[in-house]
Amino acid sequence: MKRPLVLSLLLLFALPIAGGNFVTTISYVPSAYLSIPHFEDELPFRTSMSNTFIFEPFGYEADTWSVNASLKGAFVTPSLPWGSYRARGFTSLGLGARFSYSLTDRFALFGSGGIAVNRYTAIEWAFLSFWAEAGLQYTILETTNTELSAILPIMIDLRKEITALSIGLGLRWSFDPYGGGLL
Amino acid sequence: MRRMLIFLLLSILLLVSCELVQDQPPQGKVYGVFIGLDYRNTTFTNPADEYGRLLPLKGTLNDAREMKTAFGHIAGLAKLEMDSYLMYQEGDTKDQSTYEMITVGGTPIRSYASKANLALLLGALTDTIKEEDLLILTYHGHGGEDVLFMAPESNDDYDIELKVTEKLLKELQPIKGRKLVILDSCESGMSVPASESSVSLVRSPSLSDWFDTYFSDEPYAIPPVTLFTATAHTDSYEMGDDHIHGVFTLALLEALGGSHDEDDGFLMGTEIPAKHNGVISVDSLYRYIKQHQKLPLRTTIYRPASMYQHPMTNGGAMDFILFRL
Repeated sequence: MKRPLVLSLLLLFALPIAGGNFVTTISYVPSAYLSIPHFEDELPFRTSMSNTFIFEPFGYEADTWSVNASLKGAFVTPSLPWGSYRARGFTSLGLGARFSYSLTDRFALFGSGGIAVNRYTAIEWAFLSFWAEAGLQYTILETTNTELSAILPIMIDLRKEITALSIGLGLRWSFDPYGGGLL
Repeated sequence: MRRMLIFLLLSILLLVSCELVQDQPPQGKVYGVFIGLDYRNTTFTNPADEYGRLLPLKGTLNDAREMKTAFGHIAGLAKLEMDSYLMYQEGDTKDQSTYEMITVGGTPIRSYASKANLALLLGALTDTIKEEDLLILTYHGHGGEDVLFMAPESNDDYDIELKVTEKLLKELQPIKGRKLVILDSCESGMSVPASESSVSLVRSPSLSDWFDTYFSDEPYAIPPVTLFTATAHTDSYEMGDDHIHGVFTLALLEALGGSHDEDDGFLMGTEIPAKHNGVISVDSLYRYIKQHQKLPLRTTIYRPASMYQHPMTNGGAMDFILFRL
């Protein structure tokens, strides 16, 4: 389980450095986080806010597509109090990969997925989750070495007892620190 | 493209409003059972205890009495009716006739904190408590691994162990409504069951525990009884000079707005430190205790401590809301 993951990540890291088109990206996505329970609850879903920060230290960018390795940190608030319970807030740290495909000069589609460890904010219990995400990217600003985009991701967080749907509107800033690669 | 964006944003707005568009369900009555024992009448020999017997405790009666006051005050602030029952054992007598009677739904029960009296009280509450009600049971006394020690009925009564999972939680099962059990006793966290969906960081899980929990077939359910305990697997302690309390209970009283005054004794304020976003929940109490209890939570190589205790509560996705203020 661990070896293929490590090898894939190493490959992802190595490709851009060797071949140029090496980009680093930072994203921030505030979103509504809807927890749909797999258990009996008073509501069909609970609503929280999520603040997600994504750091993609290594990415490879071709003409129409790009691939990135991503580190994701998210802060999910407790849900709005309703009835006898509320969904607990948690902090999440994830590792994943992202792929995007340009539709036009401005618009691109992207998808990402990965695994995360999550710790409840108030209590010392933690859990594992997997996420998958798809969305639309619109380039607002583009210079030689940087690119600022608006992103509209829809994310599914696959937790053991909850499937969460997260819809947000964020910003993504890509830059090429080595101006075309190290080699 | 613009239509799609508008559609998505409208969907977000509609979905977000689920909690806002529905009326809150009615809050019922609050019932409180507060148990405190000082063990001065106990000759029980505990083979698992290094001292061989249950030593008298000085803070447990203060704990139980002031918890009763504190929760009564909070229920008042939340505009909820509350019935409270103090079950206790004080001093060296085993004569139950010196203890007052409490009446629950027409059943008279002696307030002496024996196993039999507690079973009677919980039985009577089973017929009284409704689905929308809240039951809070607190225990302040000696404990061991998944066991509490109640008061003996007579000089020959050595059957004072009350198994938490096997007995107490089963006695609570038929009671309708929401239930919270607060245990301030040694090793009380051992009664907190493993979660079907998360791993306890206090219990140092291995990497495989994380994956096993995620991929196990056991489904998560909101626990029928929420446990909130003073400690995980270690001892729990008392502190104070003239007026003694359990370390955990003292922090819990403060979380509920309680304070101690040399002249006036125990006082409840209007400021509730554990109130967070208009509610008092198990997590908000837990968070306060972790930050304010007078002992460290753990011993580490950098901060070694001979006395420490770490509160515990059930894992899983849901936080239990006790009061809306």
